[in-house]
Amino acid sequence: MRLTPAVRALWLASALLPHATAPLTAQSDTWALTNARIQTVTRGVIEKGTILIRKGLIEAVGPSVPVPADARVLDLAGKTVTPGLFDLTSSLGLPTAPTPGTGGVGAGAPGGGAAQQAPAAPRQGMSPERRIATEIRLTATDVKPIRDAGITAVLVSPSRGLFRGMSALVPLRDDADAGTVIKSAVAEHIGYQGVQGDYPQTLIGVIAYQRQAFYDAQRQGMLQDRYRSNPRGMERPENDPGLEALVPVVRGQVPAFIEASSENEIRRAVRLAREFNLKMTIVGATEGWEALDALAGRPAVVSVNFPAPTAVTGWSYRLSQRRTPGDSASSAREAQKLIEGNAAALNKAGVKFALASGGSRDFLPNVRKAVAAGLPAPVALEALTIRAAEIAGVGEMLGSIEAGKIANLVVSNTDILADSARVSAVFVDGIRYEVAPPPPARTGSGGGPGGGGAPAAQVAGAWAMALTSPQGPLDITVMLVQNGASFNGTMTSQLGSQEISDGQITGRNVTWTSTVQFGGQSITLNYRGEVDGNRMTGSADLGSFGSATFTAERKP
Amino acid sequence: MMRTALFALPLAAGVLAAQTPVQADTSDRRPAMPVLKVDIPPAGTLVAITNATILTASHGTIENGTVIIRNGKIASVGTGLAVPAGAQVIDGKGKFIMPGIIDAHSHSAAESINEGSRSNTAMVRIEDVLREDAIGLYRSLAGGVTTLNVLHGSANTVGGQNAVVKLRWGLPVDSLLFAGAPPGIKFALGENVRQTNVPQTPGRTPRYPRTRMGQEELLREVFTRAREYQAEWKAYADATTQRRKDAKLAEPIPPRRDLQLDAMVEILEGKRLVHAHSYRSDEILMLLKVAKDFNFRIASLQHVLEGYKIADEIAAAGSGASTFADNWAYKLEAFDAIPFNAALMAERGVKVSINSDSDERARRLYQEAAKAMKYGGASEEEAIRMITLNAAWQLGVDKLTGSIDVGKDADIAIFNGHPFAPASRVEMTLIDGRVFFDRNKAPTLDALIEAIKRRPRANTTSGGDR
Amino acid sequence: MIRRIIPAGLVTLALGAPLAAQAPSAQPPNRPSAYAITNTTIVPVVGARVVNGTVVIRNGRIEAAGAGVATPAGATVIDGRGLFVYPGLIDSGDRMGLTEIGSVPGGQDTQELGQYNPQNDVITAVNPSSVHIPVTRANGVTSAITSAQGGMIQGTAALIDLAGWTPDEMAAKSRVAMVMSYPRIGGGGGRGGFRGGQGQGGDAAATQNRQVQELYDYLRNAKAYNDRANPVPQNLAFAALGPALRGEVPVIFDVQTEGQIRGVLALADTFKLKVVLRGATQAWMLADTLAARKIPVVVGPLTAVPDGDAPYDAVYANPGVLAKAGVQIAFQTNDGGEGDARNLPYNAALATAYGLDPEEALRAVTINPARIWGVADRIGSIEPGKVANLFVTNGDPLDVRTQVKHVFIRGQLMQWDDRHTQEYQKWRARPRP
Repeated sequence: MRLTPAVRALWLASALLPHATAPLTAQSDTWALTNARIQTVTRGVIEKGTILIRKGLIEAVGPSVPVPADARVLDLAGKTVTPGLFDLTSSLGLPTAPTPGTGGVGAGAPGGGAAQQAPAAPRQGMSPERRIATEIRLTATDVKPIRDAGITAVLVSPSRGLFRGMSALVPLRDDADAGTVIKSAVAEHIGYQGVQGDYPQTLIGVIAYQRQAFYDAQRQGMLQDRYRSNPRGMERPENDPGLEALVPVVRGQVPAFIEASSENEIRRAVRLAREFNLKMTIVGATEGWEALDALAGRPAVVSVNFPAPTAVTGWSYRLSQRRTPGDSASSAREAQKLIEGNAAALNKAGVKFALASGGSRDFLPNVRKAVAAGLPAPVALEALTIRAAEIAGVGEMLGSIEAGKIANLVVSNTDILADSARVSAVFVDGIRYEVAPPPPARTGSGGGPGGGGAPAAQVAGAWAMALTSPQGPLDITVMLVQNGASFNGTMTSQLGSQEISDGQITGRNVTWTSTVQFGGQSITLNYRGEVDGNRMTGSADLGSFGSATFTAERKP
Repeated sequence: MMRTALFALPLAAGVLAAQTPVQADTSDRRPAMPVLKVDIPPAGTLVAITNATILTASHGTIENGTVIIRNGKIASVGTGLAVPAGAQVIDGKGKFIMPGIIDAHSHSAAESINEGSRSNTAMVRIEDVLREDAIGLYRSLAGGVTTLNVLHGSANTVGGQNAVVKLRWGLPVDSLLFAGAPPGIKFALGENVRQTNVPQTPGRTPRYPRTRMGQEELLREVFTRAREYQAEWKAYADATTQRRKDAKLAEPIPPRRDLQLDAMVEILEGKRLVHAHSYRSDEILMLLKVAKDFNFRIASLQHVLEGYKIADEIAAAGSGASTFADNWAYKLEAFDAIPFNAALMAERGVKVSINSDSDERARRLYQEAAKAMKYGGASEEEAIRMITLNAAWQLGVDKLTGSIDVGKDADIAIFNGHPFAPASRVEMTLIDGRVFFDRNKAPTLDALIEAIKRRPRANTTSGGDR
Repeated sequence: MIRRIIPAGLVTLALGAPLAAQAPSAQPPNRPSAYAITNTTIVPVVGARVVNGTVVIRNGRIEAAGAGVATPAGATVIDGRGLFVYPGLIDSGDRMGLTEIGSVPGGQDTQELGQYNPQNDVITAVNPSSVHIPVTRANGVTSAITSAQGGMIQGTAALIDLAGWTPDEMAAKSRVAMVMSYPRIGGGGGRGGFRGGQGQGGDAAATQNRQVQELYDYLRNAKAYNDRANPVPQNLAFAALGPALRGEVPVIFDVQTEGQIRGVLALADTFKLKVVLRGATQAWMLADTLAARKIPVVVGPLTAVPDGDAPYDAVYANPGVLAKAGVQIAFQTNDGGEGDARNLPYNAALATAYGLDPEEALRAVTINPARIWGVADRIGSIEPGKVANLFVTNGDPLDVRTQVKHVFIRGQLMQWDDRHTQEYQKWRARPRP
């Protein structure tokens, strides 16, 4: 839907006023959340207290707040209330299909008649003037899965490109749109992906492009200043929306969020920031522990989308050290500790940061891993709430449970960072959203405890198994004896006969191990299969020899 | 207000920013951490390599020689030298030492090599995309290489700015830059640039130029434009000077600072060395003529596989030539390549180096250089120079490294035999007097086999018999 | 089953009958056919060196070689003072004659479409006029095993001498082996790391297992076909596998990893194949097994970087480890037309820097390949009766600095007609300004 300039101006204007009355009060009620354990984040924990919500704001919070008559009362005895969490690395609601690379009115421009007056479709990834707030299209189905984890506000920006545009802080309401955006221009987002089909395509081109763009923006600002102070006799500066969007960035008035995860990416971002005196926040910093000196003195948004050890800077260094043979796995474990301990290291070095998902589906579980790796839990909680709010420029309105702040809250059965935490309700702008409890554990693989799974398959008997491995095919006779949900037996082939151990059945899925002599060593093989009547199919992990697949038929 | 001052001295600012003068930080600011880090060798404060055969590259061979290193530099070279007290002594008995090998054509250590979307990308910089942890660097170190000329690729006529690095394995990326190396840039001519060996993307306009004539035209255009840019800034500087004298004049508006043209102007001013990938004699002659017309020198012709045909012209132009030992026939323009190329050009007075353009070949440049003796009868010292001093000269660092001479950086490769002899291998590689590669401490196949033998038998990962 | 009947006349020719027709292009008709290299150091490879010896070549063969050998009348005398005579070197793997200029597809016959091409006979595609042939023999490499690449079964390999008017003339053994590969998990071993884990490993492993099954099925069908007396309809591909399945010719397996090698051994056991491993950078892991099973290994090219987690010198040191364990090794350059085939001895030299005994290195480019390819009665050493494939140098051929002075193939003295020598002489003579 094309916005006329007037409407767009109105929406932007309303976005600047977080207390805009008309859309919000129409849907939110007055609530009194009583008997709750309140984790305010900034003012300590209130073991048993009340939060009053009115017109989307926290009207009062304390151990003994009187409940007004018109309030709906929620007795939260036994529950914990935390400020709504933030995720500052989100692309929610942005169209996934990229617009064409080159400029000009292209396929991206919607509508027939409007095409004539539509401005050139922004080059994918190279449009600093892009205002994400005007592009977001969110539905309840988009928002719910994220909100159910306790996240109430996300900073939306495109995930690729070199000048990605101005991000918007969006509340995770079912009716979220440009009008309800919390802040419509948080920062200019900068990344390192090139464009298709034109300059700059590669990393080396992207960086040069960015530097040139900032020099051009400096010049543009200078020209505009001059023109404004005395236009007479001076050619007017060219009208370039992209450059104009960058002028406040290069002047340090608008923050620059630069996506940088690896050590060298961080150093590159810092170099760029120093060259142009940018007000820069690093987003990502998953290898922050390697670049503590570069991160010092700036806030950061730290992603918990942990990279694989093999992808981390310096992984190949281990090849040049005298290590024990086959140390990949143990080195990977060591590296994993460093990776998960990233936030703890940054905290120890005094860096102020927010934690963000970085696109990971395991946002909170990974935060818990970071805590297990040494990040103090209170710091983690701050990083998810008040630090994030401050970095997004809304520290006065969000990020803690204080009177006057926006009522974004999470209700859970225990501390939100505990492993057993379950979110039961989320408030966004004072609107309550219930979170249904998770369905009972599914039967089958990894089956949960109790509560009627499918009956264990019958595996007893003699099976003819055909196994195919990297070393070739093998025929194996498998004799199984079943005992309820477990079994044992033997496997016989030209390699000899081995005992089966740890045979387990869960519904139709079976697992077992056996140890075989091959090439002069003892190797433990892990099998897993699925039973369907008299047929079984599955795979076997052969350790260093790779992995095999098998099919088996039960002999009558 | 402040911004205008920034443009007041345009060229100086441009040159300074473009050069990013780097002091190589060898302060090892990162603490050594397990598993993802390398043990950093101690600084080369006081080192003595004793009783070795020294191939100096500049003044012959010294038998039973000693090299004393102080604070990373070669302090003395000769026979019968006393070893200073407290020195780290490296026993060179039976060993041959030579200057650390310099590879004048490399694409290692960079995360991004080719911005081919335009025919002129003089604004892109390898130093922006360097990486310090590629295992290829270590393998080259194990082959005696100490310095690399990391170049932009050959996707376009005017490519990007290079970075000269030392292989200080384990140090942060900024510490790899070779402080004092003049800036350079990559040009490319011939088949790669014309993109005639790869199928064109349907629907995409092919990029100009597609012929060798077009390449000349493009070069002349960009240098003509560079001269105009130079003039624009001079006019601005003059106007600023005028206005300082007469405040009634209008405040001059600076021209647009163009990073690409900044680099081209540096070439014109002789401040940025051109390394030009070129094969055929005709295109090389074209380039030399363009350079002459615009009053600058091509620092090195790279590959230059037909250089033997026009060795006199190359020598007269004062350009260096950096070539392969004996690769040929992989492209049409490489069909006339002969292994005698290096020796023939050297015979006619060209300063020749032999390069790798490959992580694989960089490990054994000492074997490649020996081919100049076989094919064309170059002398041993000339062949040694082809992977040391000549390459240093081409990169503008010959006062700093490239031979075993007093005052130069202690960049040294230690072999267990003459580098050109068949059974020789590198035992140690020093950069600034620090041992960045030591075979005794390196993980070798022999060591791996020993470790596998000693390991208990259960659950092997690289099992087998050994 | 298709049998090939070789006419008796052709047999004689194949053994190097004394015809001027053996010579390469542009040989004057009245070329002498008797030579004596006098006062020279003879390196027979199979025995001790002989100093101050003489080598007599007549009618294509080594007539005599040793101290005190007389120079026959009428022989062309080559003064071998200060020089050395070596058997011609044998490159056990390249694309000789199958490629000219890499970037020009029209001249490439190195890879056919499809995975299974046992019926492709490489000898038919060898171009006797390839510019690479004279360039290669100029450095003393006188024979090569050439074959196609890519796919699971490439077809036959041919052992060719690097001189001859036609492919059949060049062929010492036109179908010396069948060439195959073995499925491999993409990317080689060791990089699974932490997150590489189950997900990715699963897909790649399933693909590899499927390919293994296909290979077994294919060979089973080929065996069944070859076991029938008069199969109708005929299947040329299966028929081409007959000699390999009967163990009459070896099968070259171009493989690298330990996993592949183990797979090859299992395959060989199942189908009773005579195996030669080639490439085999991880063969050191199975050195004892390979030695015990007497499986020859062609290593190289050493001008290749190690895989994944391997030590920096793994490729260089592999041959030494194998040789010490008692494996018979030979070298290949795997040259795809970049001029590397002539560098065969320098591959061997790199191995001597990392543990291979220099004498064994020399054997690995002469008598060992001759034995592996079943032509040890013909070439591979300097012994009377053998074909005169040899070269004369001013030093150790493994030393890069050494220069080759003369090359003989089948008793004919090669002219310095290779492109490189010609261009060098021409442009060296360009007048100075």
